[in-house]
This record gives sequence, C-alpha cells and structure tokens, in this order.
Amino acid sequence: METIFTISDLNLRYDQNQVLHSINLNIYKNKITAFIGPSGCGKSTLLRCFNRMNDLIDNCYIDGNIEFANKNLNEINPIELRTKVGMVFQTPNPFPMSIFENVAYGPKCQGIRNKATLNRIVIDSLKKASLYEEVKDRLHESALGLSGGQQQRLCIARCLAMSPEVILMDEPTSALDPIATLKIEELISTLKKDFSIIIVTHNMQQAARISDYTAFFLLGEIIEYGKTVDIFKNPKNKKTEDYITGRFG
Amino acid sequence: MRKIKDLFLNVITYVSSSFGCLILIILLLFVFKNGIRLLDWSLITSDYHQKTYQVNITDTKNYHLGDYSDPQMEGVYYSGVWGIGLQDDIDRNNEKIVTIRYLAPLSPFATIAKLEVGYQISKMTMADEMGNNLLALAKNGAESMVADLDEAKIITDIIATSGGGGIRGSLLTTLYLIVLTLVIALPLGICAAIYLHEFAKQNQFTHIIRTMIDITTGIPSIIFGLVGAIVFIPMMNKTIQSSGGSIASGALTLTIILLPTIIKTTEESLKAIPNSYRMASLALGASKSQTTFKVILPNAVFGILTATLLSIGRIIGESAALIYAVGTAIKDSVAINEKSTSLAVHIWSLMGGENPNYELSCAISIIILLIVGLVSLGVKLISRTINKTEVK
Amino acid sequence: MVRHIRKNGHQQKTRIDKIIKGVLFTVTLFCASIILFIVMFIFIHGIKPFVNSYQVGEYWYRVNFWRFMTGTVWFQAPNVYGIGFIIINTLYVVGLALAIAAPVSILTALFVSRIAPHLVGKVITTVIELLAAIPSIIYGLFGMGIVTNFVKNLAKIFNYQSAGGLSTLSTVIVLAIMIIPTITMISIASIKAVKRDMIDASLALGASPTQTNFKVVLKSAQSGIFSGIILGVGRALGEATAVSMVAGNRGSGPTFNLFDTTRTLTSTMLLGLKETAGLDYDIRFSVGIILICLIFGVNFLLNMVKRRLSR
Repeated sequence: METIFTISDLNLRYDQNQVLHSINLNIYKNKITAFIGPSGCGKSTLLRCFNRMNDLIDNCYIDGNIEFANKNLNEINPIELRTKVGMVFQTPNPFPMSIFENVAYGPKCQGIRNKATLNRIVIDSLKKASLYEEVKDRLHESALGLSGGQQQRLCIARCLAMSPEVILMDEPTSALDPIATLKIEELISTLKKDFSIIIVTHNMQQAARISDYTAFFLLGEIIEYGKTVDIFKNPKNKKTEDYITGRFG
Repeated sequence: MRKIKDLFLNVITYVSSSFGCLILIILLLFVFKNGIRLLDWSLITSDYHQKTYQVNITDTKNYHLGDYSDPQMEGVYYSGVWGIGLQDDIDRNNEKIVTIRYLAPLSPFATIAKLEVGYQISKMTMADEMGNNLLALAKNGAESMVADLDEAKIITDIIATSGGGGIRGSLLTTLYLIVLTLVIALPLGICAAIYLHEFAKQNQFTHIIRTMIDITTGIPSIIFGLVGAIVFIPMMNKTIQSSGGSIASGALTLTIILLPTIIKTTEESLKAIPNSYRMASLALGASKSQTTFKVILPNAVFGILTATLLSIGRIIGESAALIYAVGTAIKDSVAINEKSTSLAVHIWSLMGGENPNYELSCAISIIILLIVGLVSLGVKLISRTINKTEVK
Repeated sequence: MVRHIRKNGHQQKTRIDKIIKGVLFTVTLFCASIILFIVMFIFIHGIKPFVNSYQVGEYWYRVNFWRFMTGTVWFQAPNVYGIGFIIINTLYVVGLALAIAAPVSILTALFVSRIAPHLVGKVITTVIELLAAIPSIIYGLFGMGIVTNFVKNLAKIFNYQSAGGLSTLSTVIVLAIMIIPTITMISIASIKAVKRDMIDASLALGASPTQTNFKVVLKSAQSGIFSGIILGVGRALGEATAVSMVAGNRGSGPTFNLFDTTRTLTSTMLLGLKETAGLDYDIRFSVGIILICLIFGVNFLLNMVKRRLSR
C-alpha cells in the first residue's frame, strides 16, 4: 500500500494553547481515512494542516514534519499544494456566480482559457460529482439557487475540476438532510477509485459505512488508528471502545 | 503568466491606496503653508473692514518738534523729530504697508492726530521749512517715510487705516448659527426620533414617513439654500424685521438640512438601549411618557451628543445653502436679524471677485479644519466609550 | 379613598401619554413633510419664468420651456435661457470623475480590508475619514490653488490655452477627490462583510490571494460597493461650492474638451448671485427643479442597474 501523507511528531498550538500533541500518522493512497472523536479535539485543525490552510491563521504555531509524496510540506509552494490537495467544507459555500463559473473557477485561475477545454472539465467534474443530470439545463444560472445537497455536490465538483490527488472533507454532510447525506456518501465511495480521501466526521455510523481506515482523536491526540473494521469490532483502547459504544462524546 | 497578472494588480492596488494619503498631505501642506503667516490672535479679534482716518498736523502752536527719545526697537525706523517709530509690513491682503510701532507720549501723532500704535499709514503729504512739499507713500517703505518726516515741519494730510482682514465678525456669526440651529433642530429631531422608535406602530404609514425623511438626505444643500431664500427670508423679514437674509433665516435653513442626520443618529442610540429597561419601567407602573423621559432619554445622551457634534461639523462646513439663505456680505458688527457670513462663506467672498486672497482664506481654513478635526475626534471618542460600556 | 386617587392618577397618566404622543407625532410629520415642502416651493418658484411675464426694458417676456431644455447657450438677452448643454456637461463631468474615483476607491478599500497589515489599514482608514470630513469650500480653495495650476501647466505641454486652469479637467479632478472617501468607506464595510468561508474555498482551490481578492471578494461585495457608487454620484451631482470655484462657468456648449471651461447645473445656480434680480434670480429655481429631477432620475436608474447586477 502506498503512503501519500506521512506525519511525524506533529505539535500544533494557538498562542499558548496546545491543540495537537505528537501526532504520528500515515495516510494511504486511494483509501478513505476517517477522523472521528468528540468535538473540539483537533480533527479539523489537523485536516487543515494537509493543505496548509492553517498558514492563514496568525497565531498558529506548528512543530514537526508532514510529508506529501515524500516531499516536506514546507518546501512545496502552498498555492501549488492546494491544486493537488483539495478541500470541501462543512457548510456548502458556492461562489456567487453561475454553476459553470463555480466549477471552472479553479482551472481558470491556473490559466486555462480554452473554452472547449473548460467545457469538458466542467461537464466531467459535474458528472463525477453526480450532479450533471440535475443541472445540465441550467449551467449558467446562479449556483445559489441550488438546494443544500446540490450545493455541496457542486463544491465537490468544483474541487474535482482541479484533478487533485487528495480530497479533504471537513464534516461535509453535517449541514445536510439524511437523503442528501446518503447521496454524498455514495459519491464519496465512488471517488475512492481515483482519489485519496480524508474525511472528518462526527457521525460514527458514517465513518463505519464508508471509510477504510479510521483514526480516533481525543483532546488533540490520536488514541487509536487502524483499519475501520478493526477499530469498530475490536477496539484495542478502552477509550476508543467507550466512544464507539456511546458512553461519552 | 498568472504571477505577472498578480503583480500588476498588486502594484495598482498599492498605488491607488497611496493616492488618498497623497491628496491629504498636499492639501494640508497647501493650507498650512499659505495660511500660517496670518494666524495669530489679532486675526480672530479684529474687524474685517478697515477704518480710515484722514487727519492733519498743521497747528504749529500746539505741538513741538524734536528730540523725542529713541526706544531703540529692532527693525523700526525712528523719527526723533516727531517721536514716531515706523516699520515695514505686509497686510492681510498681501500689500506692502507701513505700521506705527511706537509713539512717544507727547508726539503730535498721538496728541493731535490721535493715531495709535498698530495703525497703518498709507500716505502723508508734508511741507518742510522752505515750504517744499514732501509726499511719502507706504509702498516706498518706512525708511524713506521717516527720512522725509525728519525734514518736515507740518503735515497737511495723513491717511491712516486700522484693522482689516480680521475674522471676528464671521467667527461670531458662525457661533450664533451653531447655537441657534442646535436650539431649534435638536429638540425637533429628538422628538421625531423618539416618536418613530418608541411610540409609532411599525406599519406602512411609519415606513412612508421614514422613507420621506431618508430621501431628504439625498438632496444637495444648495436646494435647501433655495428653499431658505424663498421661505425663511420673507418669513424672518416679517417677524424680526430683517431685510433680506439674516442669521435667523440661515439657522432655519440649516435646521432642515440637519434634521435627518439628527433623527437617524438619535434613533441609532435609542435602538441600542436594551428593551429590558423599558419593560422594567412599565412593569413598575410608569406611563409610556415617564419611561421615555426618565429612563430612555438619559441613556441616549451619547447618541444625542454625537448628533450635536456631527451637526456642528456640518454647520461649519456649509457654504452653498448659506450663500442663498443668508448672503455674502462680510460684517464686523453681527446681529441675528442681519446679514453676515459664516467662516466658510467668508472664504467664498474672499475668493470670488478679481483679487482672490489665498493667504487669508487658508488661514480661515486652518481654523475650520481644526474645529472639524476636533469634532471628528469627539465622535470617535464617544463611539469608543459606548463600545467599552457595551462590552462590559 | 386611596383607590380613588390611584385611579385618577392612571387616567392622568394615560391622558398625558396621549398628549405627548400627539405632540411628538406632529413634530415627526413636520420633519417628514420637509421634502414635500422643498419640492413644492421650488417648483412653484421655478415655474414662474415659463408662466409669468417679466418686464425687461419696455417689453414683457416669458422663457420658452423647450428652448430652455435643449438650449446650447445659457443666456441671450432678453429672455432666452438654455440649460440643455449644461445637463450634458454636468453628466460628462460627473461621469469622468466617477471613472477616476471608482477604481481608486475600490482598490483602496481592497487594500485596507484584505492586504494591508492591521496598523497600515487603520492609518489609511483614518486618512479617508479625515478627507470625508473636509468641507467643500476648502476643496474649492485647494482646487483654485493647486489643481488649476497643475492643469494650466498641463495644458501648456499640450499647447492648449486654458483659462488660467479653470477647466473641465480641474472640475473632474476636484469632484473625484471629493467622492473617493464616500465610495471607499462604504466599500471597506462591504468587503469586510464577505464571509470567511468564501475566501477559504477559493484559496483551497489553489487560487492565489490576489486572484481570490479580485475574483471572489470583489464579486461578493459588489452590491455594497455599487451602493457606495450611487451615493458618490449623488454627491457629485449636487456639489456646488467646490465646482463653482474651478469650472469657469462657460456660457455655451456642450464641450467635451478637457481644457475648456465648463458649467454645471450647480455652478449656474451659485455663480453671479450678487448681481441678480427678477428673471435671472427666478431662473435659478428652474435650474434647481431640473437638478432635483436629474438626481432622482440618475438614482433610480442606478438602483435598477444594481438590482439587475445582483440577480
């Protein structure tokens, strides 16, 4: 199995407040890795390290090593990194533009101007995100007119248009209704073929349903990490077992 | 390619942002450089119009010449014969003049001509012992004037002036305008704000009233001036016996300009008062009016103060409306039922016409900018104090 | 006995409440109707030149409304007034001023809200606030002192004789300087209100900060920025004092040459006020009517454009 991200001894703090303690983790290629744990224990913060979105926060200090495809993360240009590591956010946030423009945004920023190429990329991405059939007749209408679930799939399509290697998802379905959630979970499972996915979720059942590997976080530390089947059937750590059986969290 | 585009956009962003700072610096430099020379206490206290004196010293029996002691003042040319010290100077209209800097107590200039230190001499016609005529003009300088004086026995004609270029009249006018306008506008505005926020039902009618008040803010001030000219001037002519424009008509015009601002600012501060105060007061059996005047208003003081400061700033800067509603005649004695100029309109009068007086205008501008600066500072301080108390 | 007094006290209170409410209502009604009075009085007075006859010398004259609206010369004795060219010049001058002020303001607002370090942003914001507080007479003074000299020298380079610097270009520059603070302050507020979410999404897609600013932030803030522009245009159309000091009050037109003198509706109303009486005085009110109509008209049009943009 190929490793796409390697984290060694990562510590992160906001001013004097330590949020992540000595994280060691391997993310495997073409697998879905889930981060679970009670809220506020650093899952989203760690996620944001993978595409260096934490760089945008002034008082955030990071020690330790992250390697992406065997290269130190700090040596890669962050803008270039983000073309390879995409992100989908908790609340759908389409731009106030047309559906077409939303998906074409990333490629355009990279300098792709050819109309035929952009057209192909947009349609491809919308198909991969299972949205094309629903919007093919209104590509040039505002994206804000879509439902919540459709908007989130649009954000995924937007991300796919960049052909990233990794997709980071920060609680992508927590703001959606159950039917939309199901659709997106199906989508994520199909994406595994071409992409590596890291998903932060509050929903344990979701993690159990779709992920291959799961990491359990508590208070900024990884308590246990392994194959999802093992974590859920035979948790090695008592705290993991307590969380999964619902004794806390 | 993208990097070049980004760089270009960044460069024009930086350039544009420095534009504002550049303009402010150039403007302030211009105003201060030109106006600072004239800025002193006498500018504020003296009259604008000059007084002219035409006198002569010919009655040789009543004065004696010669050997008044020299006070040895620097830059002053002294005539020991007549006991007068003269100095070269430039007046507020940028013309060369000769100023009296010293008068011996028994000098005929003081006793007979009744001139004083600080007056300017424009012209003197004199005759010496042989009866030759000597003519001394201010533009030839103090030194030559004194030299001629030392020869002269009688002076057949002196033209002297005092005062000139002061802004006391306009300063007083501005003060009267501010006080009068606030006295009328603040109560009206506060009443309207209270009604709209505390008493009125939020229905379509109230909405229309608010819209109408809002539209008034979009009207340029010159239109208000027009209204003042045809409504308030005749109104004041009939009631307080003014003829033509007056400070009173100006104040009324300023009132209708300021009302929307006062109403809005006061309403904002009323909104900030927590509803729990009102509930508590009413629950104790107080009436709506009692609640409003005893509980709500005292808490809206900061908002009313802000409205006052904003109004003062606006009044000081207002020009177009006052040109129509009051007039442009610069006066030294000021009365509410007479025309006069505020500081801003004074500048307008100075700059219109054939000989614009940049120096005096800039000096007045410095004063206006100082007041406006203080007002802005005041408003900022108040809003900071409000925020602090809210955070608590 | 005690209950009786209390009941009276209540009735009194309610009565006082009603009286006070009535008084406050009257005051409010008065404040709201000011706009109506304004329109009414100016209309009544400004209609006079077209309806009443004025005596000039031996004859009685009226002013022809059609020639008034389409005329290319301001005044021809004894009764010909034309503001057609003035309307065009006014729109031209304001349009050019906007063309300069809008980009400068928007870029400055972008710089202050998104790019500059916190302290620099505060300094520039204070500078803008100071510029906003400066009264128009001082801008006029500044225009006469510095801007006209600049334009005069510029005209020399182009071998064009300008009237001591009083020109269209001077008016445009002064107006642009005056409306930049207005547009900038509103734009800053609109840009700061753009959700963090949107910005993060753009950056996460691999866009550079500059691309994010121009493609996403400005687009999200465009409605607010446009409101600022509408406000700025309103202010420019109504500006009287500063414009009168640098425009030159040209007698005929319209003219699009930057170095020619020009005339706006407001400068027409303000200049020459001392020596006026009768027809010349009243015609200014007619100009006032047209000015109000122009401001409302432009406001209405721009608001319609704004609504279409946000769809």
